[in-house]
Amino acid sequence: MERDLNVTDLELVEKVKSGDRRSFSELVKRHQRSVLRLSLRFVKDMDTAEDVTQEAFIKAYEKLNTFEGRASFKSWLFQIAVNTARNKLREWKRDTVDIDDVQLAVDAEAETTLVHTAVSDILKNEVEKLPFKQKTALVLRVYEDLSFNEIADIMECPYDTAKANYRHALMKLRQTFEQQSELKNWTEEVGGFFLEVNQRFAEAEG
Amino acid sequence: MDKVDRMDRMDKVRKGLKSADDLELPMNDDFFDRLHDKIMAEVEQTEIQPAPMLMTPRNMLRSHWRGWLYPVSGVASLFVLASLLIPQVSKVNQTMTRAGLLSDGHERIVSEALLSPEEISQTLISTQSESDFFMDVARESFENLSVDKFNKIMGESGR
Repeated sequence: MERDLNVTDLELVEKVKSGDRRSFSELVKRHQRSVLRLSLRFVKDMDTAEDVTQEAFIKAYEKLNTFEGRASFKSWLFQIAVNTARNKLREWKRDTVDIDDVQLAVDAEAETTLVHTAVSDILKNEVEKLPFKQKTALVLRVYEDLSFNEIADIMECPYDTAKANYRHALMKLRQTFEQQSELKNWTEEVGGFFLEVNQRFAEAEG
Repeated sequence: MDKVDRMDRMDKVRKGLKSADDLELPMNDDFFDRLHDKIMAEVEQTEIQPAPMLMTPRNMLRSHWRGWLYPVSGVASLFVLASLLIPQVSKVNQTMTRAGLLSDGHERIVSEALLSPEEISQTLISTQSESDFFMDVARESFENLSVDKFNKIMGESGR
């Protein structure tokens, strides 16, 4: 089937609702990359992220009649993907160990390999430790460039709550950076962005 | 520190976090073609669920909270305020009436008529019909008026 890029998501949704199953194929092509990327940020494993993506699209298809078009199709799909990823994480948590143990393990590992770890890995670890809602707000804002209105739609919460979650996430990151003296010293050697983050947080909230 | 400056710095942090992002997605089209086919194969086996006849209260709350929460809470606050104020207002009203501070003018007219009956025909107001007025005066007269005074009033108005 040839891709029709002029048709909007909403029009495609209406076609699918009226029985044209193949129009859903175009929706998948349009959004599978962003859904996979978003899922990967939560589950950290490509195979699981693929599962989450697949599951999110199937759920979206099944529940298409509940999509009212208040938010964009992408926001609605992201909402399903975030919820699916959260359920996967809960399953893992139930099946394996307590989340606190996971964090301790990460801390210990981070301590021994700190010097050799890339800045992005440290950041990733710190983001990983954030509460789910704060992490979601941060991920959607920073990495997906979504507006707070869209984030509120996805997180199913008021606009101000979405914004507060994002701000708290940034503040927590700052606190963590300030507390880790090794990290501070190391960033002074490395310089660049990480130092910038440290300074900016201190200045912005201090 | 002003808000604009803070927002500017927060934005820089955001951009910095993004620039340090090293998340890598498979870039080849084959991967995504395969993923697409997997999804569509599942879709072929799946049916769209019918639209719910009634939204659950939870869904309704989620979908419409922005639309109705503020107006409803505003109207509810007005009702609460009114229900609190009405008894107070009526209590004050009663007290003032009892103290003679509040009157619709009716009692004053009657008492003036009793004090100076000869002037009543000039001061009779238009908001009250003559027969009503006579009824009021008659009612008062049974309690307070002497027969002479009563006859005087009746004679004055009867002219």
